[in-house]
Amino acid sequence: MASAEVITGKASASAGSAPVPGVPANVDPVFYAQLKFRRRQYEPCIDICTELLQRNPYDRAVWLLKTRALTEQAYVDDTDLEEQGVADLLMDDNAMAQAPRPGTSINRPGTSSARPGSSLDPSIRPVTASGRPMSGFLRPSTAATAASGTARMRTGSARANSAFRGARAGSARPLTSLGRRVRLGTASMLSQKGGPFIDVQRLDLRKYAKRPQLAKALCDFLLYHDNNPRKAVELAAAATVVMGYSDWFWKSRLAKGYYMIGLMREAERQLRSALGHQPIVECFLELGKVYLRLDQPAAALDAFSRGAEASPSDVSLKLAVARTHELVGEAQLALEAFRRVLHYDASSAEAIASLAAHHFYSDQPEVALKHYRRLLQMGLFSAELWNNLGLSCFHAGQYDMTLTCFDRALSLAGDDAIADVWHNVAQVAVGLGDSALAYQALKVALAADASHAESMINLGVLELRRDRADTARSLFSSAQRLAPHLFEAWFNGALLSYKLGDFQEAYRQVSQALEAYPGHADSLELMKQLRRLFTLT
Amino acid sequence: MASCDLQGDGTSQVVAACPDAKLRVLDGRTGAVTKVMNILGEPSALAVFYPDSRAARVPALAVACGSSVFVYRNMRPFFKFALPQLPVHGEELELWRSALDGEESPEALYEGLTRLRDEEGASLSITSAELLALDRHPESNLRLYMEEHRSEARELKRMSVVTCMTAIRRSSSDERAQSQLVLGTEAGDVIVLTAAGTQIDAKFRMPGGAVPAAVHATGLWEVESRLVVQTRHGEIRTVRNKRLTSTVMRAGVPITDSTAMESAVVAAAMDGRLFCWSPKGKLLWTTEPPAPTVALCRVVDPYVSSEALAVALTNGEVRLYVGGSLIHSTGATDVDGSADPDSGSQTSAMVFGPFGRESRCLITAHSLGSVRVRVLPRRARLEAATAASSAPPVEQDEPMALPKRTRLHVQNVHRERADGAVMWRSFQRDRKRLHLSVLREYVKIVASGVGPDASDPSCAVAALFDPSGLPAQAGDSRRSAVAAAALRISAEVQGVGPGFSIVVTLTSALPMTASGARLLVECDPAQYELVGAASAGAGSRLQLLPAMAPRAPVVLAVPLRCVDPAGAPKARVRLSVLPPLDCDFEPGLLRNAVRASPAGEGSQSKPLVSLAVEMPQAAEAEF
Repeated sequence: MASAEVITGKASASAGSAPVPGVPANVDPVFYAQLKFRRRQYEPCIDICTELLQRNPYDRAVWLLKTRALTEQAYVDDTDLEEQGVADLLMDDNAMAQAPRPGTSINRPGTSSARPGSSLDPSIRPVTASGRPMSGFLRPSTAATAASGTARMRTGSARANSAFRGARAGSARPLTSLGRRVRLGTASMLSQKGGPFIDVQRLDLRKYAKRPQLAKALCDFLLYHDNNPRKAVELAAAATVVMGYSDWFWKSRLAKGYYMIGLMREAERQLRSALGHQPIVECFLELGKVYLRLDQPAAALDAFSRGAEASPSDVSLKLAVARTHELVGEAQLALEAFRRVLHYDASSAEAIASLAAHHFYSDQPEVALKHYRRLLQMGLFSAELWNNLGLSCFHAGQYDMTLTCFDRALSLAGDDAIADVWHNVAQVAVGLGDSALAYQALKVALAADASHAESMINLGVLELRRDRADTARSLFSSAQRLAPHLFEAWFNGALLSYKLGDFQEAYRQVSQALEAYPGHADSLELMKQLRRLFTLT
Repeated sequence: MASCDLQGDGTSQVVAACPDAKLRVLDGRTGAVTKVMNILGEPSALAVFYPDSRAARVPALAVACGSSVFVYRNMRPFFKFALPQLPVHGEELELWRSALDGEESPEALYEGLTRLRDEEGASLSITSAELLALDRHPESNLRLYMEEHRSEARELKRMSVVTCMTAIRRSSSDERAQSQLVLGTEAGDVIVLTAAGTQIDAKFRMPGGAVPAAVHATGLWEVESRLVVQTRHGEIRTVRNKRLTSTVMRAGVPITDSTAMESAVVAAAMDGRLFCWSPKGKLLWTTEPPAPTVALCRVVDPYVSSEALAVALTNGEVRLYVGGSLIHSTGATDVDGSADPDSGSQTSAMVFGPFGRESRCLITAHSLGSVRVRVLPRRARLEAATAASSAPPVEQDEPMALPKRTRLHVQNVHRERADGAVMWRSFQRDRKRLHLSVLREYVKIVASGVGPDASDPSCAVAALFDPSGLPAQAGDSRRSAVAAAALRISAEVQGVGPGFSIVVTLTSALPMTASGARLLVECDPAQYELVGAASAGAGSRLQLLPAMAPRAPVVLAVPLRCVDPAGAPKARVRLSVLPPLDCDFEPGLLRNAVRASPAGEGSQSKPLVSLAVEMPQAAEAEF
C-alpha cells in the first residue's frame, strides 16, 4: 500500500519526568518509540506511547504515533480480493446478470477455456469447489466458495450449508460478514488493556477533518484497526469537503469505506473521481477489485491495464491482470501476463508458482520442476512446495529425488495440508503399481482429514479392486456429499451402480457428473449406454 | 400425404389427408390449397393408385377410414371397399342370444362378456365392447343399451380396422401403370386387393397376430415383388413374390418408422439409430444421426436409377444417406439463409414425388400445419463419396496439442541414461523407507481405531507380520474389526457460535441391521459444554445409537456450546462409535470382543471408528 508518509510531531520535551519503563536512560522516550515504530516493533512502541499518553493525554505527537502503530499492527494488504462472508454470499444484492455471456463472468468459468486437452481441462487439472481450475498459488479468493457459483446452488438450504462450510478444506469455519477483518480486529482488541484507545463514538469528526495529518492517521485507524467503515466514511466525507473535493486520498478512503459496507457502485464512483485527480496504483487496484466483486472481469481488466499504462513498471497491476485472466479461464493470456510479471520482478512467488502449475498440468513437469526449484532457492520452505517438487520429480522421471521430497513434505505439513500430501504419496504409489502402499497411504490421509474427498474417491477405486463394492459405494457417496464439484466421485459411483445393475441410480449420478464436467467423454459414453438401455423393450 | 397428377394433365398436386376428416389438395403451380373435401371419418392412411389401364391416366385416391377404404376419382366418391367381417366368438353369440331372449339378466351378460374378454383373451365385437365400457350400475344402463342395440345384437359383427396402406404396380414398371392396393389390418393381416379394388387378391397373416404398423412395396406384383411389413412388435417381416418369408429383422428396440429401398430395408429405432438390412435380413449398416428420427422416405432418381434415403430429424434437419454414409443435409434455415419460419414446428410427414412440373421433390409437412417442398437439383448425384467409410477418421490427422520437448527434458534423459543404476538404487531405498513410514502410520491408526473407517485393520497387520495365519490372540480384535470395516462416520459443524451443532452421519455396510452401538462424544469441558448432558460441565457423553439398516445413513445432531469463545481456536471434539454392550451388533462375530470389555461405562472398550472434529472459532455473541 502506498501509505501516507510517517508524520510525527517533533520530539517534544517530556524529559524531566520519571523514566518510562522499557526506554533506556538518557533517551527521549518519544524518539525511542519512533525508532521502535520504524523498526516495525509495534508492541513496545505502543506500550511506550500508552505510558506517555497516561502522563499527558493531549500530546498529539504521541497520539498520532500510537494510532499509526496500532494501524500498522492490524494492517492487511487489502488490494487483493478477499474472502466473502456468509452474509455476502447469501444476500448478494449486486448481482448483475443471471446468465452472463460466456467469458464475461467469473461465476461461469470454463465456458471458453475448458477445451479438452488444454491445461485447464478438469480431467487434467483439479478444480476447486467453485468449479474453477486450481490455481498455482493460494490466495484468499482462489478458494472462492462454492456459493458464488450460483449454478450449483439450486436450493436455498444447500446454498446456506455450503456458505457456512467455509472455503478451506477440512475446516468448518463459517466466515462472518467481513471476512478476515473481524477476526484480526477481535484479536487485537483482546490484547488491549483498559478499554479501547480511541472511543470513536465520542469523537467530533468534523473537528478532526480540519487537521489533515491527524485525520489521515485516524481514518486508517478506523478502517484497519477498528473495522468501523461507517465512521471512516463520515470522516472522509467531511475531510473531502474541507479539501474542496480535490484530494485523491480522501476519495480513495471513501471508496474503501463504501467497499467495506458493500456499496460497490458508490465505491466505483469515488475511485473514478480519485483517479481523475491523480493516477494512483492503489486506486486502480481498488477499482479492479470493485469490478471483480461486481462480477465484471472485463471492466476490471480494463482498469488494471489503464493503471499499467500509467505506471508501466508496477508489478502488482500486472499481477492483477494475470489473476483476472486466470479467473476468467483464459489460460494462455494468464500465462503471458505472468511471464510479463516475471520480466519486471524475477522473484514474484505467485507468478512462478502459477507458471509452474501451468507447466505441470500441460505435460511439462521438467519445466515445473525448474520453477519450483527456483522457489526453493528463494527461501520458501513449506510442505506444499516440497509436495509439488516431489510430484514434478516423479513425473519428470527424476526418481531418486521424488520420495525424499515427500518425506520432507510430510515432516513439514500441518493439519491442513497433510492429507493432501498423503494423497499425493498414494498417487505416486499407484504410479509405481504398488496398490497396497497406495491403499495404506489413502487410509492415513483419511485419518488425517476425514473429509478429504479426493482420497475417498481413490480409496473407493482401490476397494473396488479388492471386490468390496459396498465399501466402495459408501466411499463414493460420502465423497459426493462432501465434494459435489468433483466429477470423479459421481462418475465412479455411476459406473459402480451401472455394473451392479442399478441403472436408475447410475443415470442420476452420471447426470451429476456431466453437470460438474459437461465434456467428460467417459460420462457421455456411459450416459449413451444408459439411454440405450432405457429404450429397450 | 401423397403427391400425384390428379387431373392427368401433367401437373402434380399434393393431397393430404388431415386428422380433421378433410382431404386437402395443394396446387402444384401456386402451392395454395385449391380444394378441401370432407371424408367420412378420421383417415388412417392414404394411397394413390391407377385402377385400370385405360388411356386417360387419372389416378384414384384411396383413403382408409376405420374398416373401409374409400376410393375417389376426379375428387368424387367412386366406391368403397369394406374389410371382410371376422368370425364372432361362439360363446359371445350364445350369451347375447340368451340375454335378448330374456333367459339371462343383463348382469349375467356383462359378467360373461367380462370373463370372455379378461380370462380367455377373446376379441369381442364392437357391440359387446361398448356394453363393457358402460357403467354396470344401475342395471337399467345395460338394459337400455340392449334395447337400443337389439337389432345389431341379433347379428353380431366383428370388424377389423385398416392400419396402413400402400400401392404396388401390377405388371409394368411404368410410372402410371396399373396398380393394386395393399392394406394392413388390425387383425394382423396384410391384404392385397385386385386392381379394381373390389376383391381380395391375396391375404397374408402375420405370425403371432402381430399388427402391421406400416407397409411398403417394391417391384411388380405379378413379376417380382416385395412387401415390407413393419409390425407393432418391433419387427419387420417381408412378403416376397406372394409368399411370406421367414426373414425377421429386429433392431432390439421398438421401431418408429421404416421404408423399403430397392435392395434394402431401412428402419429408424427408438434409441435414435438407423438400421439397414439386406432383403435376406442381414444387417448392412447402422448409423446414429444427431437427433431422433421422425420420418424416413426413399428418394429416387429415375433417370439414372440411383436412390438415397431421406431422414427427417426432430431438430428440423433433413439428411440424405447413401449406403450408410451421409451425403447431404439441409438445416433448419430457409433457402435464403434466414431463420426457419417453422422453427419450433417439427416435421411430421415426408414424401418424395412430383410436384407441379418438377418430378423430383421432397415434400415435408410440419406439425404447425405448413408444407415445405424441396427440389432435388437435376445435377445432384445420389452417390456416396468413394471410400469415405474406409478411410481413418478426420480427427486422426489433426496433430494433438502436445508441448514441444524441452531441452531440460533432454538433459534429464541424459542424466537418467548416465546414472541410471544409482538413481534406481536410491529410489528403491527411498521406496522401502517410505513403505515403512506409511506402514508405521497405518498401524498407529489401526491400533487406536482412529479414522472414519478403520477397515479390516488387524487382518491386514496380522497378514503382514505373520503370513502363516492369524495368531490366536488376534481373534477378538479381528472380529470387532469386521464390524468396524463396515461403519463409516462423517461429521460437519454447523453454526457460527457460541452454539454449534455437529451433524454426524453414520453409514453401515453390514449385511444386516445393526443395533445397540453407542456414540461417545468427548470434548474439553473447559471449552465446550454438551447441551443436554446428564451433568453440567461433563466432558463426555455416551448415547445409544438407533438401529442402522444396511447402507441407510443415520444422521444425528450433537448440540454443543462454546463456554469460552475467546479461548484457543483449535479445539477438537472427538466422536467415537463403541461396540454394543451385549451383542446384537454383529451376532456371533462380536460376542467375544464385547465380553472382554468392562460392562460399565464402556469408555475403555476400543472404539469401532472415531473421528476428531476441529471446531471453528466461535463468535462472541449469540445471534
